[in-house]
Amino acid sequence: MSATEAKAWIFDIQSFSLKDGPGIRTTVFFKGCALRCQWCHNPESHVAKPQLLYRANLCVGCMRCVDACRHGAQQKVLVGSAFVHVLDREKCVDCGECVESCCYGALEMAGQEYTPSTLMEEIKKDLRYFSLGEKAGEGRGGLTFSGGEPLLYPDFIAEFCALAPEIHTAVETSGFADRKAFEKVLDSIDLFLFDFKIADSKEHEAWCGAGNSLIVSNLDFLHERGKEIVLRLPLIPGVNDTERHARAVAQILERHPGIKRAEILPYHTYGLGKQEELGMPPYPGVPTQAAIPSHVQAWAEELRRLAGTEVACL
Amino acid sequence: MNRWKVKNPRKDLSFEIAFTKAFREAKRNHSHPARIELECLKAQYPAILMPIEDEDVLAGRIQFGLIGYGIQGQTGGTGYYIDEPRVTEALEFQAGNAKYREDLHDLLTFWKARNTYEIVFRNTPEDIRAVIPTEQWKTQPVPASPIIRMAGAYIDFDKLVRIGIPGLEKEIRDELEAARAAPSARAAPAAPGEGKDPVIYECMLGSLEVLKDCCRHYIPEAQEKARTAASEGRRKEMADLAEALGKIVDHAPTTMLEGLQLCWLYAMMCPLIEFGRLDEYIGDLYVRDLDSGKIGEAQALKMVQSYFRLIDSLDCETDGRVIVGGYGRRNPENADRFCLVACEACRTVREILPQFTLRFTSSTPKAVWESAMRCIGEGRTFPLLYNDEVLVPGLMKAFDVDRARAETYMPLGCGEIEFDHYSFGSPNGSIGTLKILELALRCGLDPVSDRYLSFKTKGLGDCATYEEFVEVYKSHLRRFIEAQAKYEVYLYDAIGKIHPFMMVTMLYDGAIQKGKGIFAGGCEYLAGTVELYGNVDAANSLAAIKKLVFEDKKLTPDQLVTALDNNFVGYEKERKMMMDVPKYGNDEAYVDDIMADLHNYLCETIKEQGPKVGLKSYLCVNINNAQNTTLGRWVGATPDGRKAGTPMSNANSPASGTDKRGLTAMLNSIVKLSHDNHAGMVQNMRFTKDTWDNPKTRLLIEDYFSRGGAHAMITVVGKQDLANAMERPEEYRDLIVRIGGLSARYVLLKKDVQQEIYNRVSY
Ligand code: SF4
Ligand code: SF4
Repeated sequence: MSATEAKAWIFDIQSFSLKDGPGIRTTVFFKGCALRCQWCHNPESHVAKPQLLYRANLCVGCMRCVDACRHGAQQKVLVGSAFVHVLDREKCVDCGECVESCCYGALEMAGQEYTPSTLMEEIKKDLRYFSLGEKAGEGRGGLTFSGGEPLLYPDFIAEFCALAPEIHTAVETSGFADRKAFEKVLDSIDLFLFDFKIADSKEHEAWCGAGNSLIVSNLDFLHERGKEIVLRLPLIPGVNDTERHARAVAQILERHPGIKRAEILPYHTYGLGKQEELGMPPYPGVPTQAAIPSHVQAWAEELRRLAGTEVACL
Repeated sequence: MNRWKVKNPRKDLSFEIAFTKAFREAKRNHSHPARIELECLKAQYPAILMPIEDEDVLAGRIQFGLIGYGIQGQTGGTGYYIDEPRVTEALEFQAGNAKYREDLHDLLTFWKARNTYEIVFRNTPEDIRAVIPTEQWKTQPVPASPIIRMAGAYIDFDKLVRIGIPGLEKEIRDELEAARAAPSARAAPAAPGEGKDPVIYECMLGSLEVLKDCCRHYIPEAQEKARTAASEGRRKEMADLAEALGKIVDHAPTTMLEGLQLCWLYAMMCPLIEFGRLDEYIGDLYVRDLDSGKIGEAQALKMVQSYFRLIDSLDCETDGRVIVGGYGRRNPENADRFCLVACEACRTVREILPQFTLRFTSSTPKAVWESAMRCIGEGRTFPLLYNDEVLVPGLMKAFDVDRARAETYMPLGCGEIEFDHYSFGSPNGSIGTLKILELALRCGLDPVSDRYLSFKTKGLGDCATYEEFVEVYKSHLRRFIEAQAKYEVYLYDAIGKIHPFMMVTMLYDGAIQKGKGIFAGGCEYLAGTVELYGNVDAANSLAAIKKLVFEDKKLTPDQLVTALDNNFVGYEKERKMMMDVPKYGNDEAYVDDIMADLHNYLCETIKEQGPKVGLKSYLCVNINNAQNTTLGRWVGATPDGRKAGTPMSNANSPASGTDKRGLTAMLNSIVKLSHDNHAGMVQNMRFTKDTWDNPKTRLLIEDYFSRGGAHAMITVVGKQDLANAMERPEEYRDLIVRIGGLSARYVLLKKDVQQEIYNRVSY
C-alpha cells in the first residue's frame, strides 16, 4: 500500500451480483451519500465514516460489551428484576472497540477502509467469474461501484481502474455529485447505472433532501460525452408509482436517446431492519410494504408504451 | 426406523411369529446357510407383500416385519434382525390373548442373542474392540464407531431384464450340473467359500421359485381389479399388469411394464434399496414399446411414476437411488431418450425418494440437462448432479481400475461410490475427525466423558511447533483409521459366514460362476468405505491453533485449552479471537491449504489400508446426512470458536455462517480439494428461487463443473420459506431439504437440525 493511495470507506463487497449491470459482477458499496432518500435500503451508506451496527435480535445479553466500551454506551440496565443490555446511541462514538467482545454477531462495524490495492486483493477471488457471462450472451461481468454515492470517491475509483483497466466497470450513481467527480472517472468507467427518482425538483427535495437539477445536468453531461447509461428507476409506492412519473421518465428518455435501457427497482422493505440496527428512526413517509409485483408490471408497461425503450424490472 | 407407506398395515405380529417358527425349523433341519436363508425367504415372501394401491400400476407394496431377513438397516435390519423396541412396544401395548403374548415374549428372548447384528458385534476381535468399543454414536461421545450393515448392493438389473428369470435359472442350472459332476461335491458338501457348492445353486433356484411365487401372488388381485375397477382405463391397466406378472414368471421381459415389474419384485426380495441405472435397463424396452405404438408417452410416464412411488414407499430417507445418464451405458441413445421421462417423473412425483441422480458428461443431451435444471428449479433438490468428466478419471486413480470400470461408477446411499454389480463398498464405520482433534489437544483425554478415548500422547502444551502438534493429531487419526479398516474386513467375514445373500449374489458379476455368497468370495471387488465427519471444523481449528498459539502467540496452549474446557464461558475474548481466524470456504489460502493437507492425509492414509487388510480398496467418503448434528452433540468446544455440542459443518461445506465471502469464493475453496483419492464427497448448494431462475446462476454452476467440481446437490429454496416452515410446519410439508445425502421433509426434522440448515448462508 503506497502512502499516496486514495482511501475509501467501504461497507460491503458482494460477489455474484446479478442485478447491478451485465454478467456476473462484484458490487462494492461505498459509504457516504449526500442525499437522504427516505426509502433508502442502504441506510448504513449515508455517512462517510464507520458506524456501529447493533442487531438486537442476536444479542443474548452476555454483557461482555459493557466492559469493552469506554464511553459508557453499552449498558447493563435493570428492568424489573432482570438486567438487560441496552445500547445508548447518544453516548456511542462509533469507535468500534466493543465489536471484538461480542461473539454473537450482534455488534458489527459498517465501514472498513480500503485502498485501491487492498480492494484489488479482495476482488481477485472473483475475477474468473467476470468473464463467464460474455460467452453465454449475458454480457461481460465486472465490478460495480455502488453505495452510498461512489462518486464521493472519484480518486479511489480512477486509481483502482488504472490498476486493472481490463476489468469492466460500472458506477451506480444517484447523479448527485460534483461534476468534477464525473469528469475524473469518465474515461475509466464503462457503464453508468444512473438513478432517476422524481422529476419535479421540489418534490425531489422533499423526499430526497435536495433538488434534482444537479442530477439532471450530470445526466446531460454523461449523455453528451457518449457514455453508456442505464436509467435506474426506484419505484416507490405512494411516491412515484404514478402515470405522471412515467410520463416524466419517458420525457427524460426522449431527451437522451443514447439511453437504451431503463431498469425499474421495485421498492422492498429489507432496509427497514437496517435502520433499527443503526439506531435511526424510520422516515415518516416511507411505505412499510414492498411494491406489489402486478402494480410494478403495469407501471413498466405504461413506461414502455410511452418511451419505446427497453424497460426491465429487477 | 422407517414405517412403510402402505394403506392398511398389518396389525399384529403373526408374520413375525411365523417367520421365527420357520427360522427355528430351518436351524433344526439345516446347517448350510443357504438352506436356512432359503427357508427364511419362503417364510418372508410373499407374506410381507401388500395389496396394490389405487395409484399403482405396478405391484409390490411391501411392509417389512419387525423381525425378518434383510441386508441393510432400512429394510428392517442386516441379516436376521429384530426391532426389539417395537416388539417390546407391541408386547406392552397391543391387545392379544395369552398365547399371543407368550409368543411375543418368545420372540424377544429367542432373537436376543441370535440376530445377526448381535452375533457380529459380540464377536468383534479384541484388538479392534479396544480401539472402537461401541457403536452407540448417537448417545455417547465416540471418536470412531463401527456401523453394522451391508449397505449399497447394486445388482445387475440390466442382465435381469435382458435374460429374465429363465435366463438366470439356466445359468444356475448349468453351474449346478457342473458342481454336481465335480468329485469334491460327492465327497462332502463344500463349506461356503470353498470350491463349487451345489447346495448354493440349489438354493438359488429355490429363491427364484419364491420370486415366481411373488409374481403369481399378485395375479388374482390384478385380475380382480381388472374386473371391478370403476374406469375403463384402470381395468385395462390391471389387465395389463396381470398379464405382465404371468409373463415374467417364465419369459424375459419384452415390455417396459414387465421389465419394471420384474426389477421391483426382485429388488424387494434381496431386499434392496438402490435401483441402479434405470435408463440403461429400461431404455430399450421403453423405446421399443413407444416406437411400436404399444404405449404412449403418458403411459410410460405413469409407469415410471409408479416405480418412483414404490421406491418412496420404502420410506428409507437415504438411499433409494435411481441413476441416469453418464458414460458406460450399453445403450446410450435409448437410455438418453428414457432420461427425459425419468426427469419428468422425478419432477412430478414430489416425494422424498427416489434420490434421483444424473450423471452427466460433456455430451449429455441438452434436453436432458434442461429438464434436470427445471426439476431442480422447482425445489426438488433432484437430480443430484455427478460430473463424469471429473469423477471417472478421479475414480480410476482412487480405486485403481481401468476407464471402462470407472465408467460404471454408482453413488449409493449418501454418495459412496461403487461399481455397478461389480464392487461392494459398504460404509461400515465413521470417524469424527473433530472429536479426535479434541482428544489430541489433551493427550487422548475426552473432556466430555472425562475418559481416555484414544492412546496417551503428547498434548498441545507439549508441542514446540505447529507441525509437531499436527503429527500428534495425525497419530490419533491413524489409530482409528487402522481399526476401522480391520473392522470392515471382520464384518464382511462374519456376515459372509452367516449369509449368502443369494438374491444379491446371483446378480453380481461372476458370482454365479464362483458359486459363493457375495461376502464369502463371490464379489470380485470387495472394498470398503469409512465416513468422515467434522473435517472442515477440524481444519478451521487447526488454523486457529496455528495462528493464535504458534504464530501470533496470542494464546498459550493452556489458555486455549482452558477456554475450550469452559465452553468459552468467561473466555469470550478468546473465543472471538478464534472466530476471527480465517475459515475454510472463503478462498483464503491460509486455511484452505490446511484443509487440503488434512483432506489429503485422511484420504491417503485411509487408502493405504486397503492392501494392508486385504480389501481391493478402502477409501473415505465425506458425505453427509444428519450426523454432523448428531455427532456434534458430543464434541465439546473447539478451537474454531464452535461451542460445545453444536453441529459440525456438513460434509465439505463451510461451517455454518463462516462463508462470509459468498458463493464465488466458496466455490473457489471447494475446487481446491482433490477427487482422486476418495470414494465420494458431497457439495451442497442452496439458492433462492429468484437466484436460481437467473440464467447467470447456470453459468456459475457450469463453470464450477468445468473447473473440477465433481458433484452438487442443489436446493432451491428461500430463507424466508425456511423461517415460515419453522413457524407453520403444516403449510410446508412438501418442503424437501437436503442435509447432504439425506433427503427429508424439513418440517419433520429435529429443531436443531432445522436451525442449522437455516443458519447456513443462502444465496
Ligand atoms: S456482547 Fe453482544 S451479545 Fe453480549 S450483550 Fe453485548 S451486544 Fe449483546
Ligand atoms: S462503538 Fe465504541 S462507543 Fe460505541 S458502543 Fe462500541 S465501544 Fe462504545
